[in-house]
Amino acid sequence: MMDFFTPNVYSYLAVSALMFALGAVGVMTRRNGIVVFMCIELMLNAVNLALITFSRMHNDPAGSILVFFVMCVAAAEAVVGLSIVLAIFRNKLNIDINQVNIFKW
Amino acid sequence: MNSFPFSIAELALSSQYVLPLLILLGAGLLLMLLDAFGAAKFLPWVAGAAFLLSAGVAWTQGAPAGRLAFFGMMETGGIAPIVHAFLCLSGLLTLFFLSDYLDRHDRHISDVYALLVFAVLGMSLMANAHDLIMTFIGLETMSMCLYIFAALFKTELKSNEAGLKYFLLGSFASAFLLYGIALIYGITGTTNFSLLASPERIEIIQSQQTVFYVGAGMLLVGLLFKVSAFPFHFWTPDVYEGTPTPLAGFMATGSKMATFVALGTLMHQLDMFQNTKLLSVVGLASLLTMIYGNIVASRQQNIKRMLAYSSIAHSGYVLLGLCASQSGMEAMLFYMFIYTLMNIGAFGMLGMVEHDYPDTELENWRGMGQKAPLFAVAFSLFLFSLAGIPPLAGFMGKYEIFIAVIREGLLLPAIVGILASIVGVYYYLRVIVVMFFSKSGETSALLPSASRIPLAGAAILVVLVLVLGIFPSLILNPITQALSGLSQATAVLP
Amino acid sequence: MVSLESLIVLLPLLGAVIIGLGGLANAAFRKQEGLIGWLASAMVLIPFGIVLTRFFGYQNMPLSFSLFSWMQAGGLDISFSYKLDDLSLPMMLVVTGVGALIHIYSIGYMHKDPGFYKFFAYLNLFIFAMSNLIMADNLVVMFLGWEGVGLCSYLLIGFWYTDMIKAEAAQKAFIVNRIGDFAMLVAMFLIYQMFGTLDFSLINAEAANPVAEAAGNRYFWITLLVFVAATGKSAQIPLFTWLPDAMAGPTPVSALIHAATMVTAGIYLIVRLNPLFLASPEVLMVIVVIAALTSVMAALTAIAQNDIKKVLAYSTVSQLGFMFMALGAGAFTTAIFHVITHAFFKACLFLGSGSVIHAMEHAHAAEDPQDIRTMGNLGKDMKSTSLTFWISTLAIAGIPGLAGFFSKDEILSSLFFNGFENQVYFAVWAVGLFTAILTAFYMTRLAWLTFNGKARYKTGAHIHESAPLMTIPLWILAVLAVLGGYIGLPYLIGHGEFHLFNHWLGDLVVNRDLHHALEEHAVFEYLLLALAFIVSIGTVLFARNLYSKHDLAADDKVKGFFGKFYGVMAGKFFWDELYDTILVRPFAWIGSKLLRPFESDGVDGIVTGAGSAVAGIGEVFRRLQSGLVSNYMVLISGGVLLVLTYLIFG
Repeated sequence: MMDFFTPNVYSYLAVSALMFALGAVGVMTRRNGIVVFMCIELMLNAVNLALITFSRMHNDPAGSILVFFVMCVAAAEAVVGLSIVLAIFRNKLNIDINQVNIFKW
Repeated sequence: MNSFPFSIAELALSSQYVLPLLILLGAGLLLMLLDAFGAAKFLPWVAGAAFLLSAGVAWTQGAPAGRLAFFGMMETGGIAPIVHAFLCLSGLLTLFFLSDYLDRHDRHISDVYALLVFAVLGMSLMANAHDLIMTFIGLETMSMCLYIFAALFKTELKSNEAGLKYFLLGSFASAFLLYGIALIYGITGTTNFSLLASPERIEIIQSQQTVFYVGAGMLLVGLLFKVSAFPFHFWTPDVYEGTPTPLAGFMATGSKMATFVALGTLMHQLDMFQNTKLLSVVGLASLLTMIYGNIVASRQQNIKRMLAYSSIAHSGYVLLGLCASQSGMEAMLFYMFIYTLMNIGAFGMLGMVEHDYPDTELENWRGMGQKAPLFAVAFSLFLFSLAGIPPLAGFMGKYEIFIAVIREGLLLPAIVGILASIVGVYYYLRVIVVMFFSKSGETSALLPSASRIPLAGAAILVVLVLVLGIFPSLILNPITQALSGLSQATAVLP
Repeated sequence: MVSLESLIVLLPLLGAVIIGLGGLANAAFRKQEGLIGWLASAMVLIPFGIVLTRFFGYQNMPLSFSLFSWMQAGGLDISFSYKLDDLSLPMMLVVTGVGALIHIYSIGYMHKDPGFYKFFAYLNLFIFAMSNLIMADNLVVMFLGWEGVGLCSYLLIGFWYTDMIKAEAAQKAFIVNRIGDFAMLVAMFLIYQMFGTLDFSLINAEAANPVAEAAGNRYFWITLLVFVAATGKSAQIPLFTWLPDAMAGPTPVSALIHAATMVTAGIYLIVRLNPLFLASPEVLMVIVVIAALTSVMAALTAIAQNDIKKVLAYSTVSQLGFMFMALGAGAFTTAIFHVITHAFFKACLFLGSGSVIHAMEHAHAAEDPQDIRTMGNLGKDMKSTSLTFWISTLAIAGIPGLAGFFSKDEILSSLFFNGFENQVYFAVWAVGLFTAILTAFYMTRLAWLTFNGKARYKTGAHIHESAPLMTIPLWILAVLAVLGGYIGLPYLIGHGEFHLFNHWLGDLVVNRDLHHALEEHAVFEYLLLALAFIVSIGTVLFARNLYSKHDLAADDKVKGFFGKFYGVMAGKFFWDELYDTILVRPFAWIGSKLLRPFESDGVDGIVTGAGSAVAGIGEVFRRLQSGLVSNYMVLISGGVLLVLTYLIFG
């Protein structure tokens, strides 16, 4: 009954889930601090897509509003995250997250 | 469907109730301004005054639960004022140790005070949220400040590492939390707690079990991460070890208390979370957390890292308490309050001597009992209290938790908990043994600290830990009173 | 609000606080030995006086008093409330009375010790905790005391902490006690779940009229757990190993805590909960068997020891075994009776040994001031110590007319008459009798080798009698060791009419009813009494003759008599080695062999016993924390997947 090629709620949600999963896999596999951070951003944007879809579906503005908050938060996170990465780069001259392991056990 | 009519009177009324939050907000901005105008000396005092004032105002504003503000986004009645006051207290106690620590390490970072105030603000927003959006905003406000705390000493690799780990893992976990919120919003069409608790929403959820479970599961994971429950705890030891010590104490107490309250509110106020499966996830996580935390802590050679693992273990006890319905909430708040006192005390005192006994290695603490007897006695007191030895406050906390759990008939988990806590005694004791029972040649100053402020802080905490062990009702009664109004509080919307 | 009775609890606490804080803060205060010592003693003497007046003015109405309400949580109201009743009054008399004597003795014993003030602060704190334990009206306050006495014992064993062995002994005592505490907590929770209260009187009232038959099984676990807790505190198999090691502490501590008071806490607790135990005969059987084994094992070990305090320590373990045998026979009053008489003569023996060690140390008479092989003929120079030590030796050996005779005979006869109901008790009785013979033997050996025979210490060393501060408490205790038994005359005399102690306790503590067996087989009562006469006097005379004839060489005869088994006795039945092999080593092995070697073991050298076992597991778990962010991400995602899978499919 569902036409696969016409966009509907489910296709948006599928894309969102896919993006989220891709982001998560990227976070687990990549070594470069900035790329890992980008993957996390990807996950956040996947959530945004889902939120907008739901917002539209319920015809309720709360979801869209939450998206703005998420974007704000992501921007703030970028500031904090990039400066941490920068500090590490200054001290170590690389940003391989797996070489940052003074603390273990 | 849920439209909020805008009214000035409404706004004025609710701003009166959120005054404690506004005080913190204003203080934070003021601190940034003062810093810019070169009044760095006064910052800790201003921050301290703001905490006191805000806590004081909140304490006097007690009301039955259901007094909502910001158009239903925030709870300001019930336990909200008390939780707010407790969170302010954790910030205030951290201040006692913070500036001395920074001075000793020759890092005069004055932004930290504004961040501390904002962190407490975020915690309060999260803990007293009445809407999932607010939970998220509060959590992120708090986390952002904590990331910066972890990475505070930017020229030191250790601090960099702590910051990076906390930041990456923290935002990873928030992504899960957010996705969970999105899914719950997706099936119910609302994020407001009152609406989520309504019967028609519960019906919807029952028809959409699977999606709900995915959403609720992810939401839980996001919160369990913040309280460092197994297996989401991995950041905790690494981050605490690299964070400036007094701030690590703050992280272990304030942020956890806020997250626990948020978690407890979800679990006890929303019927949809009163679900055996969700409860058993929390219960199982709690058991694994306390077993893991206690056992691994016993293998640590570094006091700070040991305290980090011990804080994981303590999260396990509290989570167990949360599984035990209403009386569990009471026990949880009481425990977290006491935990705040003793843990900030332990971390703070550790910070006091960190400069003279570098790296907080246990080995370097040999003979501390002879070198600095008063210091060692006070530190041991905190350790004994953390271990739950009566009659110190820590025992009362554990007692409340376990009694609440047993009242629910969860005998076996309680037994596991007690067994785990007995392992705990062993590693706290090890520090005491090294301090007192092993030799070191010289005897020197009575106390290793020159500054009086951290000493005063430690003294206050020692007294509190002793007094609350004997008169727990001083804190228990207000909590009980605040909670007693909670049951009839499936609130009315404005 | 502050009634006179509450001073019993508050004064020792006050003393501990004043002395402890004063000493910590002010160096000049630490030097005021007289002030500190007498202040501490007064803080125990005054409570003793109060207890004494309450004891003689007792009207069969328990005196309750409450300091304040501790906490109220969900219908459970716990307050610091105490009760002076039939059971706690005599126990408190012993604790404060013997406690006060030992305080006074310590003023002499600890003279010029740099930690003088600390010692008295701890001692007062101990009395405070012990009063809580005994007078508590509910299990929580009792547990507070239970933990408190453990803590004080820990602090006092490790008192001379520059000595690493002593620190280790303290650690061991603490950890072993925690195992017992765990059992105690679980038992408390079971009780709470079952009775809905933690009040002693309510629990006992409930247990005395069992409504549901099914309850029997639940009592089983409660009582078994309480007994496990008691084995920790009162040094029974398998948790007794800490007590002999605890002798590392100063001798007055051994006398007060590890002989007279704290170690009897387990027995006291069981008597307190006697209706529960009476309703679970299986557990009583377990108790009686364990107690018999402990008792005979400890007595055999004591024969082969040469350290004066070690002999007394094993003797204590053995005598505690006797008390547990009484409990196992359902003779609760008898157990308390033996607790009291034992407190008199064992405290006297320990204080006597302290006096001897003190003298040996001051005269630099031997390498090891505690080794009886280097003593001998000390009685010549230490008349009071020698005489009181001998009196107490005869009392513990069960010589008729002295305190130990009455209580021990009562235990043996209660075991014997239980045998008519259940044959096992006959066997236990036989073991008990054998242990009594051993007791008389090793105690005579100890006293003879110390005070009589040839002098074996360095020639030219001048042994001096201790100061009156130390000898007067000895004499008081010796007198009590003689007279203490007359509060409980045997059943034989007027069918129990003159057993004052039973009458005293009768309202509160219900023994297993043996009237029937006693009346039916009255003839055995005479036989047992005669046997007790012969055995005790015979053994003492035999041992005295043996050692006076051969002196130290008599040990070789004993060695010959026991053959290979003597090695086991001298090796203390290898309990420590057993625990080391089955608990400590396997985990240490896993830690060190399967994984990388530990980085630094400096600190862990201090750690022994059960602790290492946990540490071994910890080493395994610790490796999860790899320090790599990518790994953490994977583990967290794995956790999320697990949670979701469970929620969706579980």
